[in-house]
Amino acid sequence: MSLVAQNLSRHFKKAQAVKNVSLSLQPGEIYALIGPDGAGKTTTLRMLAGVLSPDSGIVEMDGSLLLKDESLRSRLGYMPQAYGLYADLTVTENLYFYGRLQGMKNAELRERSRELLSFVRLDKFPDRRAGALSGGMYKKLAIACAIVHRPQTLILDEPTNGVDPVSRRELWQLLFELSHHGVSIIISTPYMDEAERAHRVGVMMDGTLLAEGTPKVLLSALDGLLLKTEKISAAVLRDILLDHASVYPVGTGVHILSGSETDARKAIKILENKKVASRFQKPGFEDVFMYFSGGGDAGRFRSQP
Amino acid sequence: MRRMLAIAWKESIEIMRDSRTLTLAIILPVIMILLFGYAINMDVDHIPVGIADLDHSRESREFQQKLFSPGWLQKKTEHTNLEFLEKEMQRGNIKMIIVLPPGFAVSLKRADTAQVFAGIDGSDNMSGSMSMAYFQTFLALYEMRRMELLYGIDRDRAPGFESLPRIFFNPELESRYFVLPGIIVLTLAVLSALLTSISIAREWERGSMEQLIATPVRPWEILYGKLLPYIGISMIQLTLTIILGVFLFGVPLRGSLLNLFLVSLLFSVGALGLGLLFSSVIKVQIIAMQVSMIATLLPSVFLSGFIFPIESMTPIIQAFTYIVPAKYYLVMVRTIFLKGSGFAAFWAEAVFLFVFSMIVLNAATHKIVKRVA
Ligand SMILES: Nc1ncnc2c1ncn2[C@@H]1O[C@H](COP(=O)(O)OP(=O)(O)O)[C@@H](O)[C@H]1O
Ligand SMILES: [Mg+2]
Repeated sequence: MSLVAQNLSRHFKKAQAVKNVSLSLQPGEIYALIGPDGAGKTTTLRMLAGVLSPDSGIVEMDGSLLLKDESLRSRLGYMPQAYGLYADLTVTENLYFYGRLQGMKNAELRERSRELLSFVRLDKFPDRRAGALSGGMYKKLAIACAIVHRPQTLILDEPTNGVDPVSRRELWQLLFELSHHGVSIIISTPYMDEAERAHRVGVMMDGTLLAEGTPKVLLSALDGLLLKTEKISAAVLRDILLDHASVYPVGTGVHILSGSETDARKAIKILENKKVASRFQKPGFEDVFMYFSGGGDAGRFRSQP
Repeated sequence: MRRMLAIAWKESIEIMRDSRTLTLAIILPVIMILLFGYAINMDVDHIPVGIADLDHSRESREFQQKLFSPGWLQKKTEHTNLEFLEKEMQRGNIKMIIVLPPGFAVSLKRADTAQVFAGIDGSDNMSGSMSMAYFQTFLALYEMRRMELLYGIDRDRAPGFESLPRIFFNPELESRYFVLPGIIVLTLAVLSALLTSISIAREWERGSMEQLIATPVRPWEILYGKLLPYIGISMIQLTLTIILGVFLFGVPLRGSLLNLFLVSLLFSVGALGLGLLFSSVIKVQIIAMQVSMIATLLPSVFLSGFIFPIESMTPIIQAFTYIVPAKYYLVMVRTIFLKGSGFAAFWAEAVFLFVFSMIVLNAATHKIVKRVA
């Protein structure tokens, strides 16, 4: 266990941003924290990275308290949500800067930056100013800066936000390679579909970690509970909601999520009577989120680009 | 140490590539010199005067001769046509018109009220009012002399009057000697605090600070790493101000250049530290900059003794000047420039600046907190 967080809580003014969150990272694991904007993901990751003190709770790295030992920070790589590189420094200079802050020597850095730049496919632009990079390249450089010192734990806050689909795929490729080398990675994302690629997923809302598990386990919780229909009238909706199911639009259709298989069967009956076609649906993480949040507000998700 | 050097290295690259910092360091001394160069030349000296002597008497010529001989006012044109003189003033060839009306000599001799007209160029306020003040003082003295001659008044009984113009007009024309050290103090204070006031706030605004504080870097390494390159910039700027002052205005540097740089170093570290302190507390570039500007500009201008002599301030404000570093630095710069003395003459001031710098740097280090909220 490389990183362990126990009972983290943190408030801002009146708002309780994070409530009693515990989680841990296995070596080589990719953990995705999913949840809508304001769920408390950033606040949680900041506490994990040691840049925000919790009101209560602890973060341990390899059994030592992170906030008590500055040297532990060398085992950690962090890319904040609102990250910023030095626009006037070149790609290489940015890497050197963060490397030197981690105590790396020039000879070591020369080797490492060459290796990293080809790893993140920036090897054609070592001398370009960071400010002149495209959005995707800038982000990859930011990640490279976070891993220049070969941290064993990597914390990335919304690394895929605002990145085109191609760069996104590349980015996940990077994460897989790092995890292959034993790096533990925790990322946050407001895109539910990304959760499936992670080894483990935490579902977060209103500061609380609602559920945690492998994507498979989380998805299987919805087996036999999810129906899809094309259209649904207000009258039908009322009848179905009597049985405590949640109904929400997804894409062109409507998802009906029941609390139990009995309820689901009831819903099918009602739909048949009303001559509305329905079928069981393979759940996605949006449905998982709905399920664990007890029919939370679907409108709070950010749709993927 | 390696991390501090990394910060200094990074900061230096940013300074060199972002031309705004260097531009400011070069432009500020020039602006200050221009701004106060006006004041440097505020002594009444060779103000061009157009005179209309309508009396053509021996007395009127004698009056002229007395008026112009000290050299503060200089006879540029003599003409009996007043319209011509007015045109000359419009063209800017003369700054003052003096008219000695017909009957000037007669009324002088009769112990009557002798009339003299004087007009100044209102568009040039400073030299205009200075030359008018000079002219009036001249008249007062002239009047006294006339009384003496007419009534035999003992001039020793009114000695205060005679010394008046000498104090007022700084007959040695030394004001630039006093202004240049003031400009050095002001420029160094403002530029130093201005440069560093944005440097930590910028990291917060840009978002690089959060990544920075997640590394093992220590607050003092951030602080001193940022301090180092700006000391360099301050010293470059100081060199420029000294060169401009010494060569453009001919102010002699009587003391040692090394001493001047040493005390400037002490002062600039304090000012740079103050900027860093504001920057780390305020975290917003524009506000940190404004606060630094006010916190350095006002004391250096008003409380240092640069513009207003400290002895003439009210006791409360006088007491307040004891905590103004610019005051001590100004004393040292003036001493080095004008008297040429060494550290023995101002060790107490140097100790004050050292203590001040240490307190500020310490406070700034404590205010760089490695947490986002
Ligand atoms: N620095 C802060 N000051 C005040 N409130 C904050 C701060 N950071 C987060 N919050 C609040 O805490 C809650 C959780 O925010 P955040 O952790 O950023 O969520 P997420 O990253 O999931 O969008 C939100 O209500 C947000 O407004
Ligand atoms: Mg966030």
